[in-house]
Amino acid sequence: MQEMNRRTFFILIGMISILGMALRWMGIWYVGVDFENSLMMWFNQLKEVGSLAAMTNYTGDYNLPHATIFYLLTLIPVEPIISIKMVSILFDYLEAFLAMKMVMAIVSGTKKGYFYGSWAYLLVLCNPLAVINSGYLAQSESLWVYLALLSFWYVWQDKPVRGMWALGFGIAMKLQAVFILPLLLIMYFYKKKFSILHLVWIPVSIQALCIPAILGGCSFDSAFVLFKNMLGEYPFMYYYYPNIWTFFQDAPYYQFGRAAIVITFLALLMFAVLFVQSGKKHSLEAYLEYIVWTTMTCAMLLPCMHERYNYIAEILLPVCAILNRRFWLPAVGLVLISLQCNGGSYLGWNHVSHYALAAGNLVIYFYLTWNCFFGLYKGYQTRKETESC
Amino acid sequence: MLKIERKLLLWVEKHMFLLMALLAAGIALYLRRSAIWWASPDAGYYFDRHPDHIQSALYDLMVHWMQYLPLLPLHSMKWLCGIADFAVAFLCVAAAGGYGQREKLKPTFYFVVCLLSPVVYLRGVCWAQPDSVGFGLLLGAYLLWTKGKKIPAVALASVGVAIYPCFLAVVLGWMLCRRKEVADRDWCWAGAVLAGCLLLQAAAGMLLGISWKEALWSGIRWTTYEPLTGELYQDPLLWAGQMINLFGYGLAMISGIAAYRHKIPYAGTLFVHLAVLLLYGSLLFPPAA
Repeated sequence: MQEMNRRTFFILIGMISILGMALRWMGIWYVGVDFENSLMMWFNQLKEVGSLAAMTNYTGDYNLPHATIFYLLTLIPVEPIISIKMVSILFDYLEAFLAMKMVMAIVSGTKKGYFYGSWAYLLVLCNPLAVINSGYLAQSESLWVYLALLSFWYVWQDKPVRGMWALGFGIAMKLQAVFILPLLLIMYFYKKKFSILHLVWIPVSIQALCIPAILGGCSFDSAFVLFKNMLGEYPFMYYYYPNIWTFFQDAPYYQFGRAAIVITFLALLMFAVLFVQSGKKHSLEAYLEYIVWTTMTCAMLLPCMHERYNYIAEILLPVCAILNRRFWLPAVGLVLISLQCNGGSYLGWNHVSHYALAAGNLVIYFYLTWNCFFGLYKGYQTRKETESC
Repeated sequence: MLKIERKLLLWVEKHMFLLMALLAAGIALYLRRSAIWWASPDAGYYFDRHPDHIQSALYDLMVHWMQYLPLLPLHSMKWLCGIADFAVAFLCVAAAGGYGQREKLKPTFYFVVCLLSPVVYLRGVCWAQPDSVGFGLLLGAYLLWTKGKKIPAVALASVGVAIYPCFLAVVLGWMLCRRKEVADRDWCWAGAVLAGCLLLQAAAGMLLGISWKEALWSGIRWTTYEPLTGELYQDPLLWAGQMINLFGYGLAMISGIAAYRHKIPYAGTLFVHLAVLLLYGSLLFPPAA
């Protein structure tokens, strides 16, 4: 069963693609709270003016490149609910394809490539969170997650310029794409294959995507001003995502926000040190686990996290589970918790308390931490023993 | 990659542990500085010696004297706790095994965690509680004791216990747990710690202008908010919470040392830290009514 020929593989991919679209199409007319109160309002703002000049009056939370996509959608004679969701759905497919490519690269030496690849494609495309996010809620997580993963993929292949452009595009779409940056910096330090100067491409690419808005009359720094406005928007540490700050809901952000950022930074720093010192040659499979851990660290420890900010981990952990059975339970748990969390925010599901969800997330996070750190520490000890011999 | 960049990266890699420790120390200092202006809901209680307060006479004397420093009294207390946090981090690494030539990773990580543990941060510089001062003195005493310097060890332990009296229970508990290794004479030394502590309390009381009896009584006030009526004992759950509050910091730090030495699993110390952290969080940031 695990050995599959090319033809069967393509038939399977086609069937999964149809299934993915069918699942999304079932909710295509669903109007979520965010869609009604935000996306539709921004869309109409851009449509009313009817030219790029509309960008100057744009008041939305999404950055200007994303607003440019909205503007382009106003030119298409399709219902906005469909056109907006279709963009996210398109990136769902790209994301699934990229995950499939990564998994096939991991098992490339064996005959199981097609089998594992189709599993990865299925688990990403038909992940209930992905279906709900794009097909029902018209959210755009798939855009930044795809671009963030693409940037990792390019950097892993030693194509840093492309990687930085992809990351810049991802950040331009949503700031959360920056969650992949810690791992890229660790790779920079570990591999020593590209220069820190390559990071300059990130603001360049963000600015490049803002050209239509600048032509429409926006100032040169408008994209970066919007990012600045997004930071420190909320007064408290906790904001919908059930992470460690759920237990400190009334801790003031102005005071403890910095502590949370520092704790996150140090957790990532410790990981980086262990990563470098382990002396292991890290496989792509291990890198996928590290992406899950680093992005989940950001979502679990940073303040003011929205319920969708852990999307990379929610999408990738099931993919890791294909390759390592130990992750099945955490993957299922994480997806279920996030489903409940999304349901709580958009559909009024309030059956499970946020404290319970946060506790569940913490257990999963600590398991992943243990797994990550212990594996690296074992490598470090082995290296030390070899050196002393 | 530029040549100079590669050289710089290799240099950083070579001195990674030292740089990490320095960076953590710098960040810890910055964080402590930023928490100075935040006051816990019960901050006012530290200075009025209200009838239900549970602090010892030596602590009261310390707070009283701090009012003569050119700093706000609460800030002085916070800085004292902050400095003690650094001392505790160094001592913990020393107590757990030191910074060896072969093994650098574990002590460095341990130092960073000791310094930036949310439990330490909340209890010390945020809440201005003197646990780290008492714990640091006791840990110093332990290290001196293991080196055979018994008199300085007893002196340090007496001061530590006098500042934070509930840690006497920790000392006695530790001796009881290791009673097979503890010689009869060591119990005499423990008695000396107790005597030193009582002496310090009485002296502090007299300097504060309160009776020495009341000052001695302050040494066991931690067992309840109201020692005379035993009000708190009527609600065992509240009392248990209060005890976790008082011993939480010490428990978290000791569990850290124990995990480092593989006496307990790492998950155990993580659990202790989380439990104490959640309790501190619930006390410092009570949900809005």
